[in-house]
This record gives sequence, structure tokens and C-alpha cells, in this order.
Amino acid sequence: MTNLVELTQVTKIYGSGRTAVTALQPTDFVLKAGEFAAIIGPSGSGKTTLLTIIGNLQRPSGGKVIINHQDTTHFTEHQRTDLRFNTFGFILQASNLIPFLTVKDQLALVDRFNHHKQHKMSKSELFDMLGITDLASNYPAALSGGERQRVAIARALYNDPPIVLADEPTASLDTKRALQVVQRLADIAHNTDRGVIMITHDTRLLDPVDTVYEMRDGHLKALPNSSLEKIQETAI
Amino acid sequence: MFLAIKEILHNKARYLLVVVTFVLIAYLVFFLTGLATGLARNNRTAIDALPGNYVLMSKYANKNLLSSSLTKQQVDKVANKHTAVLGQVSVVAENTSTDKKVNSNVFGINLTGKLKPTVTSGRMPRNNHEVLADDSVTNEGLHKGDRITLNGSDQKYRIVGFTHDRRFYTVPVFYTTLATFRQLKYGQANVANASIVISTRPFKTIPAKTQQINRATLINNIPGYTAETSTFALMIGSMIGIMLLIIGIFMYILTIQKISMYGVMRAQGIRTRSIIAALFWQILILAVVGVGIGAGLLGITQFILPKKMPFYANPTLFSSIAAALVVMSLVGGLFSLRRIIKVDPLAAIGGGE
Repeated sequence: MTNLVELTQVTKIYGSGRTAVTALQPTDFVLKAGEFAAIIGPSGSGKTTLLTIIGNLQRPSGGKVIINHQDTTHFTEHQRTDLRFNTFGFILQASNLIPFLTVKDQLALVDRFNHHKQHKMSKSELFDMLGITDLASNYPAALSGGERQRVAIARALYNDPPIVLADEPTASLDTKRALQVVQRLADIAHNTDRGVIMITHDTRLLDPVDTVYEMRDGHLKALPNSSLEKIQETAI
Repeated sequence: MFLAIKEILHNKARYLLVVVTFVLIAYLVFFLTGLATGLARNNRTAIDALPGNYVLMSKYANKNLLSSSLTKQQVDKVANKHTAVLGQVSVVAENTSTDKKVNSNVFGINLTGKLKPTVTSGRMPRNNHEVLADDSVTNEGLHKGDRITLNGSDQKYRIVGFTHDRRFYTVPVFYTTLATFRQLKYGQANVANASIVISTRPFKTIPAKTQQINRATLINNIPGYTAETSTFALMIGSMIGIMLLIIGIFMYILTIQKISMYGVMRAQGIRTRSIIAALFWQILILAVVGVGIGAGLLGITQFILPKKMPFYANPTLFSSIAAALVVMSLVGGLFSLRRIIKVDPLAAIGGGE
């Protein structure tokens, strides 16, 4: 299995001097192709910081970020933008769709900017898989939270990115819908050999996840399955 | 362009407002321009039609054709095959049978010389009692064949033909002989004075108490001409500047509303360049549609305007004004540029905890 993401001693410090805040302690992290990883932890613990560093949305203060075998440490802004476009599918919290585009056009927009003409999944295949074929001509405002999130997943996968990053993808969903979304993310990882990282608060959703990490005060720790069951029990 | 058009079509009401702003400003600017051009032309078309660029006139006249008077000696000193003599006098033409009075000019010329105007209907005058009129006098109730008095003269003059676009000092010109001009200005036909001498080449000798100016200077010294044109130029220039501000601020506000959406787009790996392109495509589309409708409305207005209204649509000038409006609105888009460049893709994800 190839490593899609490799972090070596990555840190993030906001501010400087006496007001410096360490959001991320030196962290090692590996994501393999076909792996579905979840990061749990209280808000403010640094999980989103980690996700944004992996997604090349911001630079780390120290350490090395290797994405798809490329060391991105010295990438220019321009290279980082293209890397995001070609390598990552982002599924963000609610309403990350463009309000004036129909579901179909959200994906057509990706075509417009796809300068490298790389392979994409066909739209109809994606829509079928996510059960949104009938919604293709609707604007985001006309969709429910769950439908919107499925469109966001379609948007994220359309470029055929090797890595999918999901930040609280179930935040606006009820339990049943949330489980469906997580199951889809798991399918994406297991059936298409992509790497998926999901940030979540919700420990009820961790069953299909391969590796669970817990973030506390900037420290990332992999949880063995036994302690995971304990967490889930206390949550219930 | 894809983003630009999709957004305009989805937010029709919002962008309709922008287009209406464009239409109103463009219409106003076009109207002012047409009026300014028309008024300016009213002052100068007869001068524009002069065959030479060099003018000899009295030094005391302050470059004002209305006051210039050259003596026979001064005229004779410069006369050659490149020159022609013009006499100008302001008159009131009256059709005594209808009591119609028209403010106008008499241009006394050698009827067979260089200054002979183009006849558009009828014929050239053949004697001192016939005149060729600028065809705008028909709007004032004078017609071909009418017999008119000039400045209440006992003598009647017959309008035997028309020429086109020959106005001076905002009123139409009657072309007739130098003798008639002298009769009207000096009270007798046997003085040999004239107002100015026109030449196609620079004058070699400048007689005492005269000066040489060029045609442009002559036009700019028509009383009121420069004041009027510069006022219009200021108004038109200001309107184009206001256009820049209004559109710039409008698009800036719309941009600020979309910052978080741009953040998401940046996070998804869409380049800043593409977002900026969408903004300028949007302005270009709105501006071209708005200015186009404005021009269309003006075209319709032109048919409704009374003929006496000094309105003139110069296609070249209108095209450059339209281009200026579009370019200025694109410049207005620069206001938003800094905000778009500063969009942080990180903002799309909870602002980086």
C-alpha cells in the first residue's frame, strides 16, 4: 500500500514570542491508499489545523509534509492551489456549494478549471452512486442538508482526487443520514483505493473507520480498537 | 465567463439594478455628448467648410470674426491665387409676407471663387439680390423662393437655393455677393472692405494692423464657444468618473458578500486568476448590455427630438464615449481586486481553529 500522506514532525505555532500558541505539537502521521482515518477530539484541540496542513491550505511552522510522494514544504502558492485542485477532494461543513449554480453546474465548474484534463468520474455515475440524479437541476437553496452534503461529496470526488478530506461532514445531519454519509466515505476509501480523512465530534460514526486518532491539546494519538469501544460505550 | 453568466442569471434582480445604472448613465452621457456636439457644430460648421486653414484678420478684433474688418489696402497686399475674401455680418432675415424673423449671418463671397458652397438644392445666386441659404432655415419657416428682407432693408432678396451644414455663431448663414455684404454692413456697396481673408497656405506678408491665425483659433474665439464646450466636456468627464465610482462600489459590495464563497473556491483549488476573470467578465457583460441599451434608447430619442434641437450624433465620438464607459467600469472592478487576492482558502474551513 502506498502512502498518500506522510507527515514528519509537523508543528504549527500561531503568533510569536510570549503570545505564541502551539496548535500542533510535533506530529507524525501516515495515510495509506484505501485507508479511512478519522480524527476525533474536542474543539480547539488542533484537528482542523492538522487537516488544513495536510490539505495544503496553510503551511506548517515546522516539519515535512509529503503528499502523494511530493514534498510540499517549498511549494509556491500557485503550486499549492493546483495541488489542492488535482489531489484533494474537500468536503466541508454545510453550505460549501456555490449558491448560484445548479447541482449539475457545480460539477461543470470543475470541468472549466480542469486545465490538466485528467481522468474524472462520469457525472451520471457519481450522481447514481450518491442518489442525487433527480436533483441535478436544483440550486443548493432547494436542497435539504443531507442532499447538499451528498452534492458536496460528488463535487469533491468529481476530480478523481486520490485523497478526500472531510471536515465535520455530518455536522448538519440526523443520525441516520450521518451514518449513510460516513458509510459512503468508507466505500470511497475501500472500493476506490482513495485515502479519506474525516474530522468528527460524533463517536457513534466510527464503526466503518479503519484508523481512529484522538487529538488533545495538539497531541495526536492513534486509538487501539479496545479503547475505541470504550469511548463509544460512554458516548451511548 | 461561465461563472459570470450563471451568477447574473441566478441573481437577476440584483444585476438588473447594475444594468439600469449603466443604462441611465450611458443615456445621460450620450445625450449630453449629442447636445454638446450639436451646439458646437451650430457655432462652427460654416467655418469648418472654409477651404483654407489660415485666416488674416484685424489685429484689434481679438481673434473674433464678428469684429474684424480689413481695408482694401490690407486685402490687396495678400491677395493671390491661394486666398479668398469673406465678409460676415449678423442680420435678421424676415419674410415680410409671413412676418417670420430669423437670426442669421450673411457671408459675402465671390460667387464663383474658392468659398462657393456646395448647392444641395436650387442654384447659386446670380446677382446681388439673390441668396443661397443654409437648409436649416426651413425649420424656421423660410423656404426656397421666399423673398426676404435683411435687417429691415427696402431691398428684397430671393432664396434661390440651399446648402447644408453652414451655420456660424449658432445661427444659419446666407451666402451672397460681397457687394450685398458691404451694403448691409457699411451702408454702401462701393466700399471695398471685407471681414477676413482665408488662405490655403500661410501668409507671406502680414500687413500692418492685421494678424494671421488658424481656423481652430478662429473657432475657439467665437464668443461663448470655448466656455460652452469646456462646460460640456467637464460634465461628460464627470459623468464617466461617477460611472467608475458607482460601478466600482457596486461590484465591491457584491464581492465582499461573496468572500466566503471565494474562500471555498480557493480551498477547492480554483485559482485566484479565474475568480478575477469572472469578476471582469461580469462587469464587461453588464457594461456592454447597459451601454448598448442606453445607446438604443438614445437612437429612439433622436427621432422624437424636435428638429430645431441642436442634437448631433457623431458615430466616432459616440463609439469612443461608449468604449470609455466600458473601460472605466472595468477600472472600477480594480477596487475589488485587493479583496479577492487576499481571500484566504483557510477561511473556508472554520478559520483554522
